[in-house]
Amino acid sequence: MTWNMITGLIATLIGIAYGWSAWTLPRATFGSATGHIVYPVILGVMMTLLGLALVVKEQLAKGPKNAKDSPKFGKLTRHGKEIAYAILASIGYALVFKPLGYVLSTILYLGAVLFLVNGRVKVVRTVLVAVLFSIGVYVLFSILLGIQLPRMPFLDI
Amino acid sequence: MNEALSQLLLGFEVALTPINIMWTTLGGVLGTIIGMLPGLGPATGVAVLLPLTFKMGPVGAMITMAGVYYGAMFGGSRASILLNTPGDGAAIATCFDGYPMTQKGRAEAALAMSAVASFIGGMIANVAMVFIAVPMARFSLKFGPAEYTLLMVFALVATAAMSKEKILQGFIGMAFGLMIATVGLDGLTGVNRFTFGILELMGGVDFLIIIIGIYALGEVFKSFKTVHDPSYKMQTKFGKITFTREDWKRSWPAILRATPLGFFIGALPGAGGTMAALMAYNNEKSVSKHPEEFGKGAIEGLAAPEAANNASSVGALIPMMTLGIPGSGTTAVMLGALLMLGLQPGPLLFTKQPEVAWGMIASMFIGNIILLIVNMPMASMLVRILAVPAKVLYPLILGLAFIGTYAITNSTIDFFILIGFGLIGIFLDKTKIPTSPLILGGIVGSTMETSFRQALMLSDGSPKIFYGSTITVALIAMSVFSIAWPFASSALKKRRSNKAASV
Repeated sequence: MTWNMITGLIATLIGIAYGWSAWTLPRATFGSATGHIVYPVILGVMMTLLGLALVVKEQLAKGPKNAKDSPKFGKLTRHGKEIAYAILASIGYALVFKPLGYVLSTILYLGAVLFLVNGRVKVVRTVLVAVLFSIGVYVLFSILLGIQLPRMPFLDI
Repeated sequence: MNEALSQLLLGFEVALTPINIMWTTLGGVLGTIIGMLPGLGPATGVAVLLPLTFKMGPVGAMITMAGVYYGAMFGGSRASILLNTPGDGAAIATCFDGYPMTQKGRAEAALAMSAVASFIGGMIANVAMVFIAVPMARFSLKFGPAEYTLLMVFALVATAAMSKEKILQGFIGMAFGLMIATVGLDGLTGVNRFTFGILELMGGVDFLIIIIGIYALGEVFKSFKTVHDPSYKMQTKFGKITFTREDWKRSWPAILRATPLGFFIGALPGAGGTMAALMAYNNEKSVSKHPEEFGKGAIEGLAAPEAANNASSVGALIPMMTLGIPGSGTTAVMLGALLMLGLQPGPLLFTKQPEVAWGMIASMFIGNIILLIVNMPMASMLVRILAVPAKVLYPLILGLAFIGTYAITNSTIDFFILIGFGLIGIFLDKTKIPTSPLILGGIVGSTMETSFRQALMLSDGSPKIFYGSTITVALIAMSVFSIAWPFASSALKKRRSNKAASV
């Protein structure tokens, strides 16, 4: 199955689901009863048709298929793994952002991502960059720009 | 005409205050730096640097964002010339002759000429903008809701139909963006749409977060692939950054030819800097007396695209400022940012808040002068940033993306939306769905729906309002044309080459 086929199928599904839920939206109690429904239904129909068109076009396509046009399943490549780890780190960051405060959570997060791409070489640089960036951004935002960022626990700075 | 000049004078009074000169410089320099970094372009720059503009007030914010935009056009060429890697899409054409010049040991001339070409292209385009902006804004006052709806349809269709091979993907992206824009409480009827009972979604999805997700997170994730490539061997010692009289003689006609082309292409929805630069390059090659030198370090092949992409960035601001309708990814991001700051670009901006509109236009003259200085005498200093390994820089962009999101919404729930759209960004890349139509759809979606419904209310539900006036018919024709054109032009080319083959 090619990427185009996947796109077409997903678009069709989204189109139908979206169009259907638009169609079944509660009618408005004031103003025009269906004013909020016409436009999304048009969108849903359009998306469905686009998705189907892509599926049909992909079915009709002839000629040898390029391996690059289809997704590969199975083991993640190094690139894929790095993205996966970076996303996990990001989710972790979102979770500890408020409890740990901006500076600490950011040092941890940047440290993790920097370590991920740099590996064990230049650990000093990794730590230095993470710490300096976190403190620098904190100062810039909370002091110069006046945007409140979560504070560090206990020390409250 | 005099009116435009007196307004411009007012703009200069605003732009020449020390604080605004500082914002101009800041925006321009940061834009140059972001533009230099491969993979990150003006859209990412505006999105990531957005929180910086929160406290600046409308004038400062507008000036800074514009600075980031044209600054990125200046910066993009640096990496093209020195590393053969375009700093952003619009600098691709600069690689063709810029890098060969470096290989021949003429990096200084290339850097200097690209800065001067960018400067001239930007300046001439600014002058053009001064005289076009007001008539354009005035003309658009004639637009009713039906005209506005169709104008947005045209902008969207032209962007989605940009590439013939990916036309279906383009429209799918557009539809998806428009769908996201419908999420939330409907202001006209008070009905919740597509919120799945989640309270946070009632206010709608903040599109700026989606933009940061796709342009910052997605781009960084994608570039993890190249981050391990052995570090570039880059020239770091330079002589005087300048070019010879001979270089200038060859380049100035190219610059003057490329500027109007770039400006025009930029003002059209959909096209943008990359296309302007490529067209300018091809055009220059076809009129040149020695086309065989192109690709081997012909300096006019560097000057033309550089002038064109700067002119196009100014041209692209015109529909955004005067009509309130963006024609490219970057201007869409800017529009979203301005709406968030409580500014409504469009015809009324020029009459109601002339200091903002004209302050920005005036600041672009100043900014171009500043950037010429930054990119000529100080170029050798600035390009050292390129020697900072990507392995250090890209993680920092992630950090900036999160802080930007937090500054916009003050909640960590949006971090998950951000991460989600980072992933979607990778998926869009794999499935070849272009991002500009999606972003454009998301930004103009709710305005378009409102105009659409207003038009239908005005006409009591009759669709005739959408094809009743000259303007609407013209807009429909333009939309149809922009879909048909890519197919028609390739069919024409085929016929021509068949003919040539049979002769």
